[in-house]
This record gives sequence, C-alpha cells and structure tokens, in this order.
Amino acid sequence: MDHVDNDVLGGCCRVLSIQSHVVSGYVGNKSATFPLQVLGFDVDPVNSVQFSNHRGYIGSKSFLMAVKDVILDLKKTNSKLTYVCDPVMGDHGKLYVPEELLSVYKEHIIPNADIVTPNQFEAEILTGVKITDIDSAKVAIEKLHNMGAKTVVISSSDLGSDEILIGLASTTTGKRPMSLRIDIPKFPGEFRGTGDLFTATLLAWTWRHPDDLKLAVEKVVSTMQHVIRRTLSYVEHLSQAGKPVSMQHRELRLIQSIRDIENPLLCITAVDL
Amino acid sequence: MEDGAFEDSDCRRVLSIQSHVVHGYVGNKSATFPLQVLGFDVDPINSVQFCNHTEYAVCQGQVLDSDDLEVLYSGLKKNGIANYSHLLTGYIGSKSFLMAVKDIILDLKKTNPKLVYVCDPVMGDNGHLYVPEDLLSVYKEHIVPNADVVIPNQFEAELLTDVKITDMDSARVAMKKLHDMGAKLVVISSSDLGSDETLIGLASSSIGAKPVFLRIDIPRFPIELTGTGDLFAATLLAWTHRHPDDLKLAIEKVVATMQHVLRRTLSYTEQISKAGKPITAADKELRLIQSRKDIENPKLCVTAVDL
Repeated sequence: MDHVDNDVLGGCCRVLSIQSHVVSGYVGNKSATFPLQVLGFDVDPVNSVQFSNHRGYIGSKSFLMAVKDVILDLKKTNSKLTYVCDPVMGDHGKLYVPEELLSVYKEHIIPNADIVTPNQFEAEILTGVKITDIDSAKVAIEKLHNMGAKTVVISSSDLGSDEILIGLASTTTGKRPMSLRIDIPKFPGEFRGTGDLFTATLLAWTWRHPDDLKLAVEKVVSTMQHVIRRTLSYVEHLSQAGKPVSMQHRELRLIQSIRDIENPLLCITAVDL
Repeated sequence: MEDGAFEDSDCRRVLSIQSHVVHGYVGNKSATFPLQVLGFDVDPINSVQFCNHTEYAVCQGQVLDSDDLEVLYSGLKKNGIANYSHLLTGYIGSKSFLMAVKDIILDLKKTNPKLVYVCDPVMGDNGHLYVPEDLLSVYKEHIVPNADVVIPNQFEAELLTDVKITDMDSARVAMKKLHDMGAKLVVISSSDLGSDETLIGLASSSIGAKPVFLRIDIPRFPIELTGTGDLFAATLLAWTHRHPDDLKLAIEKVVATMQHVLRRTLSYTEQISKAGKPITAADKELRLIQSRKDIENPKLCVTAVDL
C-alpha cells in the first residue's frame, strides 16, 4: 500500500484527539493514537485523565463545555476541520456519565460534529427515537443529520441476532450520499477499547475515501474483526495452556495487529439500503 | 509481524516514564510510536503533559509529582499488571520525582530480576546543566548502579564519572567507570571528539565473555532538533533486544534510523525555506510518522568499527 507522504500534503493529516490516557491497556487515546499514526496521521493527544488502567468512563459537564470551546475555536481557525465525535454516554440502556452531559451533546456538540458514532442507546437518547427496527433506526439517523452531523455511524445495535450485530452508516456529504447496513459477526466476550479503535479508524478511512463510505466502513469493520480475532486467539491460547486469563490478557492486541491496521483485508460487505 | 509466538510479546513490554507533549515529538511522544512499530507494548507514564516542548514561545501544562507517580505505579501493582521486560526513563526534572523513579526501578527488579532498565541520564549538554544540581548524586548513587543500559552524552558521562573526555582514551576511562558503577552497556550517543562534519558515538558492552567496544562516526546535520535523544534511546532499547549478541548491528540500525528521520525532517524544513517561509519550531519537529518504514526496517548507512 502507498505510504502517504505528508511532506507534500502539509497540514491535512493532523488530528487533535481529546481522550483518556491509560498507562496499561488500550482504551481512549491509547486505542486511538497508534492506529492513526500507523495510517499516517500526526496525532496530538490531549489526555483528559491519566489512569493506571481502564476503569470505566468518567465525564464532567465542565470538561465537555471546555471541549465545546475548543471545537468552536478550531472551526473558526479552520472551517474545513473535520470533527469526529464519539458521544460516549452509555450502553445497553444504561447511562454511565452524569445526566447533564446529554443536553450539552444535543445543544453544542452534535451540531458541530461532522461525523458522529453513537451506539444504539446513545442514538436513542440524543434523538428521543426508540430504535426497534431498521426503519426506526433510519428515523433516528435522519434526526442526527438534521441536528448537524453529516455522517452518522451507529457502530452497534441490538437489531441483529445472537451471532450478528447490525451496524448502520449514513452520509449526506460528498459526491455520494448513501445509507448502509453492515452485518458484523459477534465475538464471545467483551473487549474494551473497541469503540475508540472503531472511531479512530473511521476517521482515517473516511479521510482516505471521502466519496466511498461503503469502502471506508468495510475497512473499519474488517480492522475490528482482525484485531478482535487476534485478541480472542491469544485468550484461547492461554486457556488451552491451562493458564488463568486476566483482564490484562484481554486487552486489544493492537501492536500485534499493525499490518491489519495499515491494510485491512476486507472480510465483510456493507449493503446499500 | 508474526503473532505466532504469543510468549514473545511478554518479552516486549516497556514501562516508559517520560514527558508527554500534545504537539510534537519529544519524551514519550518520541519514544512510544517507534517502540510500538517495532512490536513493543508500551505503557507510558507521562511525567508531565505540556502543549509542546520548551523551545516554543509558550510551554504550558501540568506536572506529575512524586506522589502522583506512586499512585499510578501502585495502581498497576494492585491490578497485577506491573509486568515489564523493560523500563525506559529520560528527562526527569526534580529530585523527589527521581527518587520515586528509583523506588520503581528497585521494585520492578525485585519482581523481575531479568528486567532491562534503559536509562538516559538527562542532565545537560555542551557544558550546560539544565536540571537541578541535586539530581546528579541521585543518578550516581541510585540510578546508574541499577541501569543495564546507560546513554549519557559526553557532558553527562563527564559529570557522572568526573573524567574529562578529551580523546578516545579518556572516553574509554569514563565508560569503564560507568561499567564499574553497574551499567552493562554504555553508549555515549554524541561527543565532541569528531569534527565539524562528524560526531563520534561510542558503545561499550561488558556483557558476555568478550567485552565489545565500538566507535561510530555519524554525519552531522546542519540543524538543531529536539527529541532526537529520546528517539535514540527508544530505538536502542528495541534493537539491542532484537540483536542481543550483536551490538554492532544494533548500533548501526539505531544510527541509521536517526539518519533517515533527521534527513527527512531536514528536507521538510528545506522545502519550507525554498517556499520563502520562515522555519518555525513546529516545522522542526521530527518527521516520525512519515518515517515509519525507516523505523521498522532501517536501511543501514553507517558502519560501526570494533576497536
């Protein structure tokens, strides 16, 4: 694959990434930075916290308001800035940030986001739309577009089955507005940091393929599949050797997946809706 | 990279205690990406978080104190995840922080006697001290004696050993003293022993049956860049791990990496000059991301000589 030479491109490959830092493991900026760097982006990480390891999400309204100021200032300086927002608030019906963040996201953050990657629960609380099927999901996505987001990716939903989770993506921008569905094989067990990896690689691949959301999403999901499969293999290898599997062993095998991050072999197809 | 040997990744876990800058490439920003690209899991403890390094007009941010460092380290211990093959430290700004780092070194070595501690004893350069003076005795008494690899520049080697380095012989005396202090591998990353065009690097290993002593003549670049020492230390960690019995090859790969990154960075600044623009501190940041292929697999371009 071509290694993009930023020397010629100048300023368009630079990301300001405001996320948590963990010393050990791969969530937040630890999950996002390496893949973006491997894909040729200069990353400027502002670490919102520094913890020894992950322990769940912490957010505060004052910090989010300060982030809002940063977004507005950056857009004033560079009107072409792309703001990729993962509105992390909760999952599976459960909020894990203070409630007051919701109105800040609705009023100030989403309206300034170019790309937003809520999960099903976050899409529901942002739009007030209960998602029970593809049609209601499309209504929620349409509402998010109306709020200001040009590209919306619902990274995971309960609309699938035990084996498959359904992701949805929609863009109103570029030469090809489109609406997509992608059926993603589930993996047994929970892995942390996957959402952060998803959003980072989505940033990279939508930049690389600005008029082909289908290809971008397929590359993102393929990357996720390879990284998670490698992580799961590692965990299984330990189990088979009779060793106890700790949380540390379940950290995403990001470093070991460098080749898959650089150039993910497509293993999944998105369908045009 | 093959993921076949799962155990192999346990031999490549680095705890790296250095500064973090949001923008640019010094400290952990300079060390982490290269190590990750070379297959190491890196656990960075950021001793500070500044917007950028100190050569800019403004440098603001937050500093970790020794208590904060202890909190982070004890969190790792309580979760049973302070398992490292390597420890890497660079610039440290206060005695209390350095003493807390000392406690970490001792604790890690107690847990894993095979831990490799790579120490860049950053204190100053060109005759000029840029850390508080009280750090010197801590390095001499507590840090260097526990370091497996130590990477002083000429000034730091002189401070640590009280040997004035004026030629190859006095350099060897200083390096022997560092071995006697406890360091198994000593690399003087840069010295004034060369000329206007060339700087001389020296490496000495007391590991194994046969001690090795090498000299490498490195072409100078007409530009001052920051973060180069941190990149040197990180790639030295990686290549001495990859080639444990071939210091010559390891050093050649490290120096080759530096040459490619510096050359790319210099080219970039030259493009800017040609366009008639002034070169800013931001323009001089190491082109690390753009140099990924060179970091992964540096094409050798300088030879080390066995003395």
